[in-house]
Amino acid sequence: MCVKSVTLVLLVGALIWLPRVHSEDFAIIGATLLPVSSDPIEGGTIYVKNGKIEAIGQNIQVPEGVKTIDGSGRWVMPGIIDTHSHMGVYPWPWAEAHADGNEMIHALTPHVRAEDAVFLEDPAFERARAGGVTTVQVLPGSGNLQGGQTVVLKLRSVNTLEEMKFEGAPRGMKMAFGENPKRVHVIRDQIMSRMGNSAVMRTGFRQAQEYRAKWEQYTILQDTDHPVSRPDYDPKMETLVDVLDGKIRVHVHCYRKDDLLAVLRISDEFGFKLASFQHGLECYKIASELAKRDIGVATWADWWGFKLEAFDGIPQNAALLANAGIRVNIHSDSSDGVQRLFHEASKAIRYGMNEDHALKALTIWPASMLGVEDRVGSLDVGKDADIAVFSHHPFDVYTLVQQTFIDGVNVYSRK
Amino acid sequence: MISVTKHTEYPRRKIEKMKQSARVSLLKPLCLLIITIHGLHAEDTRSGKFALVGGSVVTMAGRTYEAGTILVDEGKIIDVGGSEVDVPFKYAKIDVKGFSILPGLIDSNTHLGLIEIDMEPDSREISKIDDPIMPQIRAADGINPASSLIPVARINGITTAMVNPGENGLFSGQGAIIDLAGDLVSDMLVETSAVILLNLGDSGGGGSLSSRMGRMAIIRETFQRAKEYKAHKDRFSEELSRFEKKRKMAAENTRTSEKNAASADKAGSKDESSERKEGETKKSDSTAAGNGAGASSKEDSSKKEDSGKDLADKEEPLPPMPPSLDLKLESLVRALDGKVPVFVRAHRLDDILRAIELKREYKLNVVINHGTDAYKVAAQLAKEGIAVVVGPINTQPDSFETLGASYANAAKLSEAGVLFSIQTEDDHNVRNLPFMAGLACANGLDRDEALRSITINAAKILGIDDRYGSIEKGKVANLIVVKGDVLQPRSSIERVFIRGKEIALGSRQLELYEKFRPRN
Repeated sequence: MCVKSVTLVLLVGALIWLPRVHSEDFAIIGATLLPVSSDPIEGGTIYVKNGKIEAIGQNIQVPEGVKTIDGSGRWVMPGIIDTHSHMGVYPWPWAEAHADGNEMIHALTPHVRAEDAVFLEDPAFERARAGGVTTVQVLPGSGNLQGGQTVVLKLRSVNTLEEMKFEGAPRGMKMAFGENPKRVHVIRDQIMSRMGNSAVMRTGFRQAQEYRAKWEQYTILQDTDHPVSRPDYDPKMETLVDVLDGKIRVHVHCYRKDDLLAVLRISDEFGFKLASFQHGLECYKIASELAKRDIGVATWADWWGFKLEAFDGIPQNAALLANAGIRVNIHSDSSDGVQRLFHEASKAIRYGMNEDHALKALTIWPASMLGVEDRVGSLDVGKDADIAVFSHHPFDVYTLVQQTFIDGVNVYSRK
Repeated sequence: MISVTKHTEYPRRKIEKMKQSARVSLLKPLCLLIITIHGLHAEDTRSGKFALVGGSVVTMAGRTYEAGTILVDEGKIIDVGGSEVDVPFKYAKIDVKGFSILPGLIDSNTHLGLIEIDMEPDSREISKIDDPIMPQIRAADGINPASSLIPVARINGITTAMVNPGENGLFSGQGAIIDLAGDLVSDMLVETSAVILLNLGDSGGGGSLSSRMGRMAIIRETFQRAKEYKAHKDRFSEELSRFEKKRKMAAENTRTSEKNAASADKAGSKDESSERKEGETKKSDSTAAGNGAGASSKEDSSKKEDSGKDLADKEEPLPPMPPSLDLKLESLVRALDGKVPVFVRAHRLDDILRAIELKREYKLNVVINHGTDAYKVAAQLAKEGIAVVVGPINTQPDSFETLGASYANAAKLSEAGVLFSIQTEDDHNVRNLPFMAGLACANGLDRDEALRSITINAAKILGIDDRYGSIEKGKVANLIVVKGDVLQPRSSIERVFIRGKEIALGSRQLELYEKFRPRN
């Protein structure tokens, strides 16, 4: 009996201790390093200790006993970051039973959370790791004006979502404007035009302002002689109040110039800031306005024309925006594209982006859109050891990812 | 839980604050992009006679000429070679030193010209599945030569494309091959009915179409009917020629007998000839009835037989009945002849094997379209001589029938000796064809083989390699001048010639770029 209890205690203890995969210290030696925050380093060494970058440069002394990886002929860059993913919420293979990314019961569903629908067995996660991707933002879809809350994940090979979540990452909200919400909600008698898009969005925020005022009034008066009754809890309004209070970063799916400007007007009216436009195919038409407001743009290298609002998309968009001083992310919005974001960035170069911008568009710029730029996005001392090792330059069409590390843990090796 | 904060500020005042603190961008438009649009050249190629001189000519016919020369006249390649090729007088000489010249790239499966905007039905000509058996549909009848997608593809080096009318239903129509330049479809067409499309796998409809068993049954029934139709047609043409022969003989006989009769007895022959005329009228009436209405009554047919018999007795044979025209079956007869390749959409291994069965049963020239699992039966495909139109290279395990998707598909087919081409199955981004071939290289495909898969091997599979796919004497002058490696996105296409005419490197997208790019 006693032995059994001890065994049980030991087992439970082991289970508590087991989940975190601990990183082994190592150094990649003799590789071409692309730190993003500084110029490329030929024949460089990157030394990883306790899952963080301990040292990087040409003449790094690695302590004896630390495992070394021969990096000669290899290219090393920070793990790739994608601000637009539906992995886990629209897992493979496509099946109606798997379609959990759009809560299209109402145009405003700010309270729903992508993290409540992530299917960890989605084979896309492993393929994304094989593409050197280490951090993604999983968003709800664009069927609703306010689609719900996003979740930022590190693509660790772990068994639970808790372990995958990017600890400390700011919360995010997905909003959408243009064709999708009006197409989806016309059958629900909520919206059928762009006028409706703006009106319903405004209504939501106006209600949130009133909700906030009611709670403020309740809080102020509750200890006085004239308390008011406690307002009803409303999860939708809770979330929108957090948006209004700047506690949630807003990422807006939007294509056309007039839709982009409509979103800017609404954000001005209600005083919340936009972290990024997602897709933003016509952002090049209002580049100076976006630069002035320091709004990031996550877009594809060359997708266009799949719907009317995407017809003015041009492959020079990303280059024009980066040149205007805007932080750009070459995003995927696709479990296919996420595997080759480096290849997509090379196409942005074809259409005028410079190589430095193209690297940033895969790393530090998306990191800053998600508010995690202090942790990831460049190879700097003290940052998380999220690293992708390539066989050729990442923008060479013949390149392949050889190894991917997250927090110093090898999560992918090419066989 | 709700956060209670000091938000007493009126939003408008907040906006003012935000405006004041808004970061004023100090960035001047210093990073002006310069793209070179080759509209005008010093060398005038308008006469149609010109020579590309000094470039690395990658012929795709086994040789590469460093510092080669290509002579073009009237849209055709007149000569190609090294320094031994002289440029005749009257040929505009174009110096392309430092560049590679390749045959224009061929995408063996696209929807170019049929789709302008995917989600706008009015700008989309992809066949629907009201009737799953529509082999008579021709992509050529739906192509819009003014599509803004066509210039986007060609300025990136794709000069020829198979246009697929859609992969819905079972028999979804006939694919056309077009050159990507011309104001009229007729000016663009290389082949009007280049391939017949047959779709296996998950893309079924309702009813008996909802299972592979049901779909195969309908496919077999259709091919069987086509076979019988063909047999009927063959029999008809045999009978017709026999009939013609007989009639000729009969006419000759009549002439001789008439001559004889005329010389023998002039008065009695009058009545006889008027009687025969009556009989002829009767016969043609009943034939018309039998042909027109499919359900002619027994009486009619017996009458017809009788009258036929009467006539036969009078030595006038009955012309054979042609089979009533069935456009669906008519379209499939060409497939049974093996004249036209049948592109069989098949991803999953068992669907590929079904395609092989159909090839054997109906003597079809089967080409596997997509072939996601093709690498699993590469040896068998090589043995059977079945080609594969691979791709797109980035086919993913995103549906139940593509769970076996592998980037190494093309490389493994190549190792096994399977003839294959690489396709985009795209419309807006057909321009990515060479990069897809590049991705196949990254995943083990030999680079030369990758180039062949988007030039000469694509031409072979489409049955146009006598005119397209390589730089050889007598072939169509579809040529591209490339700076760098054509498979690399960072390279650029400098000049494009289609049927010997230089194409201005412009597109609607470049016009938008010009309109909105910053200016100093």
